[in-house]
Amino acid sequence: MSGGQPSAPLPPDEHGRLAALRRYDVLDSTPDRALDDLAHLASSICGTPIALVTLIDEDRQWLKANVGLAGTQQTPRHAAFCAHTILRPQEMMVVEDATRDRRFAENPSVTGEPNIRFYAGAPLLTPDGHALGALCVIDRTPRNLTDEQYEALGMLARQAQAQLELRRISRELWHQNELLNRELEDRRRRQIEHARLAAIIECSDDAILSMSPDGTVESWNPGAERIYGYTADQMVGRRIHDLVPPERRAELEMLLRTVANGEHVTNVETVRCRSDGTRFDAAVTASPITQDDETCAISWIVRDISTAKAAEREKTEALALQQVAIEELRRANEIKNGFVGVVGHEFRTPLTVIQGFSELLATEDFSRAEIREYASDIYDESSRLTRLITDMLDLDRMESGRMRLELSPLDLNELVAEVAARSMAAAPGHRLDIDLAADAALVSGDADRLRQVMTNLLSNAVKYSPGGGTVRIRSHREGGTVHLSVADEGLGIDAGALERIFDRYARAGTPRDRTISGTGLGLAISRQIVELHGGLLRAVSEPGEGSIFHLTLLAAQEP
Amino acid sequence: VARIVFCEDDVAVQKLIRVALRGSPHEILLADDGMDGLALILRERPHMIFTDLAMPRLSGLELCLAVRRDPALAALPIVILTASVQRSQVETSFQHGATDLLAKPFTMAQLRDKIRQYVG
Repeated sequence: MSGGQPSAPLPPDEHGRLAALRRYDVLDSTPDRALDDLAHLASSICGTPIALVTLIDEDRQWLKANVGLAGTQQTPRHAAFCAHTILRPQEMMVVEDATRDRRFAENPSVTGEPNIRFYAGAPLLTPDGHALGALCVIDRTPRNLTDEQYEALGMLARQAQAQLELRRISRELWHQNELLNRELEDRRRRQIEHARLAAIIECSDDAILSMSPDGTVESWNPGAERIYGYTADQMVGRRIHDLVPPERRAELEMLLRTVANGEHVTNVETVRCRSDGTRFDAAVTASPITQDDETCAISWIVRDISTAKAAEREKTEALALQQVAIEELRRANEIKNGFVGVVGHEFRTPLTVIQGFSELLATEDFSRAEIREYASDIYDESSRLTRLITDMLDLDRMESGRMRLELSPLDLNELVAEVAARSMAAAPGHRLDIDLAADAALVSGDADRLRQVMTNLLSNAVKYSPGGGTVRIRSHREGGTVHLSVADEGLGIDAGALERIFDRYARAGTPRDRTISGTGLGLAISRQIVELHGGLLRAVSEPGEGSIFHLTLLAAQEP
Repeated sequence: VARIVFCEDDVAVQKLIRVALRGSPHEILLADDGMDGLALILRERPHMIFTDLAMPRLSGLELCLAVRRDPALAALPIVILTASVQRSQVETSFQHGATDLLAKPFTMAQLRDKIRQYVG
């Protein structure tokens, strides 16, 4: 186009032709001995100084074989004679004198080096009819060839094309071989992978199975056989629902739906059944197996976590037990601290009185009556101390299991009536209402200790109803058990204090009137005595509504 | 003549105090528990208080707090009569506003010394 010389039009099959050229993979390739030989043959048969095997690329003419144009590898397509040759794939193009041909007269290869005058080119024709380039002979003087020479040039062009075909086919074969090798390698790798997965599945302790989206088992590994107790033969084709406890079926359906919808499920803790009907804690992990975006199967892994669960439960239980033990220790410590504090208080108060009056009697003058009165006060406080010490020792012996009961058949009604008469005689402001069932009389017990319990309960009933009122004692028999209750109409005990009244030194307030004085140990001792008898002592009360103490003892065998 | 209030729920100890201080020039007032004691203190404006710790209704420590809440009574000497001499108990007493402690069992000489110390 530059210089005004008309360039060759593009052939009608240009697109297919270029694609064909690419298939031969020959552009910019290393020299080919066979094609070089063919160019030499053409040059010598036709007697021309130049012979070329050319290939017409999109923008250039590339020289595959070159005789007589040393140093030239390619030329622009618009200056190439062969670009014209390929326009008529079935014909040879001959230019006897380029200077007289309108197409080439202004061509730089004609007006300058290599000063082409004569050109004869035979197209290189593919089996499907595309001209890739040409085998051409060139001379620097106008001339012509003989018919035999033209015929030979045609035959050599076909040989050149045959070489190109050979090259293409061998390259294609090589390429196919490559693909085949790659595929073989892939297959081998897949086989190894498959074998490895199979080995993992085979050896896994987990049950690994695959199933259809509706839960029909398709594969069943040895782990599944071990966990569930069913063989693969027994399970393949069966539905997974058979292995799920009835109350977990809805959960299973939900899991299956979730996975069938393409979602993964990880470590869902649930319960499964073994073939022998026993259940185990299981963790399910499931994934969809998809093909063309459709879930075609489900991979399902079940882990037996019963051991881990049991360990977890054991740990929780151990922790709870430990917690209880700590609580007990804490409580014991609290009791001990309370004990130290209360003993201090309980001992020091009577000691203050004893010491104080002794000091006064020793240092001051008093009338005979006063001396007698204060000596009596000292005596009372000493008794209080003695009682306190006796109670403490009693309680300690009972709590440490060193107290033995003197058990004998006894008439509880008689015992209760006797204690009640004595206790109530000292409480003129209170009325006694006693009604004991005849069949609840006979128990086996330690009379002295039970008398102690009754004395304590009645003294409490009176002490904690300072406004007077009725003290009711009732009994009845229920099977092998005798029930006895002592109810007062006194102050009552609020819920918080009710929990502690059987503890040592617990008192619902400190009563002023110590004529029936307490050591704070009475109920703790009473409960211990009753429990040593195999019975129970408990209290029911509401503030302002009075209190009822319920005592149960085992009835003695009928004589 | 000073007024001295004793808050003590134990009748035997009350009686001992009454007898021991019979010859004292001071006016001795006795209350059965913390609640009665507080009412007595607010009414009689005493010059000194002795109080037990473990009492029904209002404990000795609660009484201390209640008394100290009245600015007019901020300097009133309060002596705790305690049967416990544990260090924590002593500290707690002072934190609640007690002035001094007299541990049970105390001698009558100690009791009179305390009175002399605070009201002469």
